[in-house]
Amino acid sequence: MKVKIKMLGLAAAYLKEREFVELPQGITVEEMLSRLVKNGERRDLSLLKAATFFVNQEPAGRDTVLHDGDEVIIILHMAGG
Amino acid sequence: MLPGYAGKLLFVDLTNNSIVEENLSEELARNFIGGYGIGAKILYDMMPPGADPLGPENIIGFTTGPCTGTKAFFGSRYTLVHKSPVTGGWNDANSGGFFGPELKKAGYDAVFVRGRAPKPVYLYIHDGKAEIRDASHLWGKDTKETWAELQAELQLPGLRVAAIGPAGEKMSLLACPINDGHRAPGRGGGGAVMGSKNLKAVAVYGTGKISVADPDKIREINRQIAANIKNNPGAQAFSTMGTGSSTAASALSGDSPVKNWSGVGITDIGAENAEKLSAASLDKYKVRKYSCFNCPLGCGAIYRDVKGRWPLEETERPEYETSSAFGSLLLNTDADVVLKCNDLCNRYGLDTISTGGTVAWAMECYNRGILTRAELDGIDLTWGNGEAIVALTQKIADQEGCGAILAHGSAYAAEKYGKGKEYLQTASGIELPMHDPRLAPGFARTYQYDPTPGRHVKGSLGLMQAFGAIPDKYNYSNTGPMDVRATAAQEVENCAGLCTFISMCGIMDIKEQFLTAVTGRTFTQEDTYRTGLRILNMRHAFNLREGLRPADFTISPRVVGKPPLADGPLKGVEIDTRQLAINFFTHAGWDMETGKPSLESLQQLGGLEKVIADLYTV
Repeated sequence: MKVKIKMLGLAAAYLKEREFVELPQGITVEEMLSRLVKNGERRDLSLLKAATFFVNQEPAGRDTVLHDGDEVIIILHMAGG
Repeated sequence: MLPGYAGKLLFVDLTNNSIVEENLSEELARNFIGGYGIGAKILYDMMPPGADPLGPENIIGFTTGPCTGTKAFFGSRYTLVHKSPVTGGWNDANSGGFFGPELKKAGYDAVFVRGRAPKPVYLYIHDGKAEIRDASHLWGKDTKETWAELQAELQLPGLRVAAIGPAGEKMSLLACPINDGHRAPGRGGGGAVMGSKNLKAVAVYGTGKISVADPDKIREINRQIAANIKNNPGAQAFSTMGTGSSTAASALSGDSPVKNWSGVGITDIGAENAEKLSAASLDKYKVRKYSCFNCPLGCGAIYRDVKGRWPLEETERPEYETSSAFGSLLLNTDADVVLKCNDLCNRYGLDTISTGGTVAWAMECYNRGILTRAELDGIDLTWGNGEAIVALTQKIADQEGCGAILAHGSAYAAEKYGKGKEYLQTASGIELPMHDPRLAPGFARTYQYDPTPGRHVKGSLGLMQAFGAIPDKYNYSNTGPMDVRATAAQEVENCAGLCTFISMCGIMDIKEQFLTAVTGRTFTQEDTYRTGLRILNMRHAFNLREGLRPADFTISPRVVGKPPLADGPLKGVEIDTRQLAINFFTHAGWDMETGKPSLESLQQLGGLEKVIADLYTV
């Protein structure tokens, strides 16, 4: 299935930027995220735990199951300033 | 001399035109580290309770920490301390840039000013000398003009200045001093306190060096920090895009308040519109990068916008707090509006958080028909109207028309207009920062019950939750131990003179490592806990002596989900603020009704003998 991705804030610093991603049927947001992470042994990825998600403009969790044609917004903010 | 310290404190009385210098005692440095730790101890000892915050008895201090001005990365901060004319209690607010390091190079760890000068003056501190000088010619000038004029007048291009603008001169309760053109200890009305004393500016210049105990160790720690930052994508993004790197994201995630704390980003603003305030959108104005003293991140930048509705030849990149306060909070997504309001606040010397919060309150009142267009001098303050936001901010800065009322903040304005109190979004009368407790509930306890209410750089339980470090954040059953420990750690970080963004360096005990290397005194995590709690109790005792009790520390119900939002990622969240407070107070050893710390807890901490005598001697 094909899912549309939009990244906001710091998400693109951690994840491979894609407009669309091909995924197996029935995959969750969390599983999708693990496929997008830019891996690297020494990279500190702890902030990714704070990511927020919307699927088709509705708030979503890491366990939300994705479907063909869904639009996923991945948001990662950093507090401060 | 104590390693890490300049070794001297300066006491200025503007009424008597006197300047007294004292050596910094080892005991004071050991017990309270620096910054607002030392500031709280000095003000508690020297200021009479019940002092009018805008009267001569109030003392305003410019305080540094042992890491300030040393080679230790992130050591750029100084803290302004005084009694707040906004909340009526203890106030501290810190700032980066170069002013703090320069004050130490000039020979002083802290400067405390009391009294009131008969005419405008500035304090000139240079290489171990201090003078009170006439500032009549500077009165009426903005903060940047004042800095430039003093540099020219004293023929010192390296002069650093913390100055009030016209807002502080007229004692706006939103006013703050500005240093280095745009850095600000913004919160709590410090600019009004300076204005009440006729103190236009503190100008500092020094050629001294701050000795540290173990310079090799500091170099080693700095190398490790530099390597860690390179491998931290968040830190890299921060370095490139600044604190505004998350503005658009925060507007949608629930981190930023929307529509005076009543809205939902994804529906009220939308993803496409939010992106207009993203770092990518704003950084088209970037001319060059800017770093505070000895910072490996460098989150600042100089901007230029000559083609917009309000042309700005040279201005500063707005911080996240500013972009949100003049952005999502007002349903505004026009970048040029944020740039202009930021520039106005920097020049006039206004706190951008409280100014944006005050505009938001007026905006909601206008849109609900509570404030009329006539009461707002004809300004059509419809949600998101950029022209109107700039026009009202200009009026606040000039204290002209309705701006003369709104310049003292939303709580004052609601009182003055006699309406709209139910739409105030404040803690103990001060507008709230741009991190929503409904996303990170730890902020609710901090905003309401910290001795300095309404701060996002205190009590870092909220920050830990915002970073995703605590999975079960809406469980209120046992938050006390972590809340108290995180608060104590934040106290030490702030008082050491370190920037809070040192958290990105990836070294868990960085404060302890730096404090040990700088001062030569072994500093363990247990020392952090005890010292942080001692400082927290000192600030708390200041408020208790002013007659403030826990019931006096209030927070607007909407902010904590009463009623909860009906939509969006924070839908249904209602924070149990009472339980969060009970957990914190119990673990800190404070009585929930009277606020009084137990004798045992104070004795265990040590160094609080005067507090014990005041609270426990009949």
